[in-house]
Amino acid sequence: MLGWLSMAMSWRRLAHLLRRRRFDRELAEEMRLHVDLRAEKFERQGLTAREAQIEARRRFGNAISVHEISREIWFSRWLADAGQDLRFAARLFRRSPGFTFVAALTLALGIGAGTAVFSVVSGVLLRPLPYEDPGRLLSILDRGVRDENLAKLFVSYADFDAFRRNARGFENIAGVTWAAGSSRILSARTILAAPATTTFFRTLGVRPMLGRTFNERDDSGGCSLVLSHRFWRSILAGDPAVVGSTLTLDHRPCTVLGVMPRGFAFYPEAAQMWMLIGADFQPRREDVILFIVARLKKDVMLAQVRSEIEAIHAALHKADGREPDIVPAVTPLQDDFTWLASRNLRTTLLLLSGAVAFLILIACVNVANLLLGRAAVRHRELAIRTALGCGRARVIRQTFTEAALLSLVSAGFGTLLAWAAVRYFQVVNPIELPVGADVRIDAGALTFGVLLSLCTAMLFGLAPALRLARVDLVAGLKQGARITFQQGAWMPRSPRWWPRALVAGEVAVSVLLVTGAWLLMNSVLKMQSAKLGYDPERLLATTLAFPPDRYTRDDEKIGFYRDALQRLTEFPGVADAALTSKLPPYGGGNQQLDIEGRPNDGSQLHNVGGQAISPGYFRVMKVPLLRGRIFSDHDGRESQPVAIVNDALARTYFPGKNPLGSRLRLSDGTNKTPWLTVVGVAGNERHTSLLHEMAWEASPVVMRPIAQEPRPSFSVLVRQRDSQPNVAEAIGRTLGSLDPAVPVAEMDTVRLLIAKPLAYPRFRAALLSAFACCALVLAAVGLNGVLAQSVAQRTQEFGVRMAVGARPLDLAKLVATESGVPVLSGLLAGIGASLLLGRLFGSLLYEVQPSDPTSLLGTAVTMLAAAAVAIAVPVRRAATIDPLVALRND
Amino acid sequence: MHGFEIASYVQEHSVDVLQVEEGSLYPALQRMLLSGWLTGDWGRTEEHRRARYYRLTAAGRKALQRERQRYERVTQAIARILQPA
Repeated sequence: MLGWLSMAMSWRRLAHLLRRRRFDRELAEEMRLHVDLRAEKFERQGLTAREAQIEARRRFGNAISVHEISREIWFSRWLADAGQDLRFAARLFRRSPGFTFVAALTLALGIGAGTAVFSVVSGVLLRPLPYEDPGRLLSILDRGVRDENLAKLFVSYADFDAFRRNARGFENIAGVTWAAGSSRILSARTILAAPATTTFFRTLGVRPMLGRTFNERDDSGGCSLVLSHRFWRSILAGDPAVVGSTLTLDHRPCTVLGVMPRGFAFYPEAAQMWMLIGADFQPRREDVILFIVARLKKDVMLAQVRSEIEAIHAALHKADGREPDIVPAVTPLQDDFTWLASRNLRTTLLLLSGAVAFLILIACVNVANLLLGRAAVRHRELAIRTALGCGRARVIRQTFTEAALLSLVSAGFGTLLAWAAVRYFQVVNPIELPVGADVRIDAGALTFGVLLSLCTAMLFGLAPALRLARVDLVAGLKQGARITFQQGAWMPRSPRWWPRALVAGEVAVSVLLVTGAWLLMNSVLKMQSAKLGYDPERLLATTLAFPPDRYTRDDEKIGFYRDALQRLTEFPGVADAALTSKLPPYGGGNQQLDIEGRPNDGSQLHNVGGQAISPGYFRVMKVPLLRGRIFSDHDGRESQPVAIVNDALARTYFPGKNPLGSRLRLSDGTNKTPWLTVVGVAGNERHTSLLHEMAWEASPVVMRPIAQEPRPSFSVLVRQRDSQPNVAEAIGRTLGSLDPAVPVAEMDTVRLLIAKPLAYPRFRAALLSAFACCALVLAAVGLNGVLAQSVAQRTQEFGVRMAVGARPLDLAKLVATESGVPVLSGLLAGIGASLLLGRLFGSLLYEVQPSDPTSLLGTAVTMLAAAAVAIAVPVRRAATIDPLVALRND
Repeated sequence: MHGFEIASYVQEHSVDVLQVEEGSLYPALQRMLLSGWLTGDWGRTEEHRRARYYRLTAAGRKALQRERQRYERVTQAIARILQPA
């Protein structure tokens, strides 16, 4: 009752605070009316107007001071009380620094982690992309209908042209491509110049920092470039006169039109400049290379455009048999960017947000428990205060002030923690984020942190406040120890029931987090040690690319391949070397397979990959040959076209049959290879999957001798004799010295390449493990606190028990079993919840089920070990109680 | 009643015995507003001027009764002391 009254009063005060100006105006008006009415009365009694005014004022007294006093009634007492409460709270915390430290640290951990995760989530999912009015931007890609593996494909230039001409729902539509390979600029520096359409920058609505971007006239002119800020800054040293100057790109003079501002980025991320599709880079109309970005007209709905695009696409492909398989996918650009960064980015962030919410919850419960514990100790103090006339409302306010002070101090430390975490994130870059995503502690994150701390204060302040307000005066002033002695341990509403339920909750939540961490760790470990079908040890790889105007004839390319292999095998420390058109961890493809003698009824999937290799490939990779023969140097340009298929292809397309001698052909819709005779079957190499992050996939592959299908860009695989770290660079230099015009990318170990797709899973597992550790420690601290308090309160009881013959071991057992119920029930509840929630995060697991017995067992053992540590100290205290001291206590 | 009416009422019914500064009425009103004993709503006087009219709430009525009882007890006690039987 009193509590409500005080709350109502605070509420009126608060409402008042917000309308202070109105309060002043109204009070002044009221008093003026009073004086006027009094003056009128005097006038009616015969005074002159002036005399009446003066007399009325005299009767009223000092209006200004009355006003002041009225105003103070609303605030001064309240403020003074608040100040007193604050001082008292600060003194209290100073007096028990250990308690304060643990509580503040706990909360700071929760608030810091919460703020840091929020800033990542807001940077990736909530903050709009750094383009003008990004809500109206869409991406258009192709999507396979029948085959799940045909996730998203680039669009052909012909399709783009049709969309551009016929679609009416767009203000602007543009394309950009990844397909252009690297270019050389400024004395053999290798960079990526991404070809884009003239409309690219206009569609995104981003203005250049210097000069201008593309316009329609550039299409007919010579080569022109728009530079990224990064390139302009680092390579050109921020030269302000760069606009209009000429850069030589792949031996062609190109005019620099402008420089983009610092924050501008788009896929492909590595692009350092943009050139024009058409003028500088001529794709065939059928090449499927374009990423289309389009801006919706105002007031046009996404669904409208979607059906429009689908209609155009259907009309265009009615004839070519591609149409039933592939439809256009129109998605908001932000969704697509998130997807491009990682298939599981959204799920990951969801998982982290959930985990951090649980962590904050545990932190709150812990601090609430700590405060409750102190409340029991302060029972008597408060009883005395109440007896001396301190209102219950004041007691509640006092406890809330303590909670608020604690949470504000923690919010300060938490923000520092979050800032450090985000700084780490920015510097180390543990995972790939979508371009344009900017993770930082900004006003939004700070507001979030402060709100979070206030909410937590409410949460953990409420329980003790209500408990303290119910102080029973008479019982409280009697012997403090006897109260708790009389109340049953498991009676609802009894003070000893509450903390235990809270501890059970803490245990359940930390079990949930520990199970999650365990499952993710297991997935990463399993994925890391998975057999991929080849041996990645001491294997180095790099990629080379011919400039567009060199090595145009096939025999020139083949000559270069031969020289390169020759040099490599002669190199000291190199055991073997081979060439390939594809490097781990990538593989698979979306070409269509035709088999001679089998009519293509359209049911064949576009899921076969093509790969060109040198004869030594299987030897270098240590991929087993299952049937037939490997390629030899005699499989050349003039001899019969041959192919080796992998086991996956043999099983899918030749089930139960021997594929050797069959003839097959690959086509990507426009290009067809000649008929190839199968001469061998090789083991599967497992590669990353486009759709599923947590998977190694073995998909059908057709391999051809690189001498029969020379490629302008190819990779080199080198098996080292023993792992000497410095060899990699020397090998790179050797390759570079073959022809200075052919750029060589950096040499990587294949181990490193395979580890790249594991960056996300690893990051996730590490972060969740960190959260789980925190949760475990917090739960243990909570359990320890509750037990220690219970032992302290039952000292007398234990003394009596000992005096009548209980042995120390009996008492230890008593305390241990007391903790058993909350720990075990929490453990069971947590495991149950993890089984339920585990289904949601199946896409984050690799060959591990949420019900994985090892993980669950590991969790249980971890939890019980933590609980054992937590209860060890109180159990020892109980067992070593001296009955004499305990009984003499009062 | 609005402020002036209250002041006039007190003055008339006390037959001018209670002659306090009229302004001191207003802080008292604020105190009662804060305690939730009164509500103050703006209305019009007979001469059509804006004024704040105060009305007792249920809590205010209770408080009044409490204070009145206390006051009566005190005055009775004083009276007994002053008029020995």
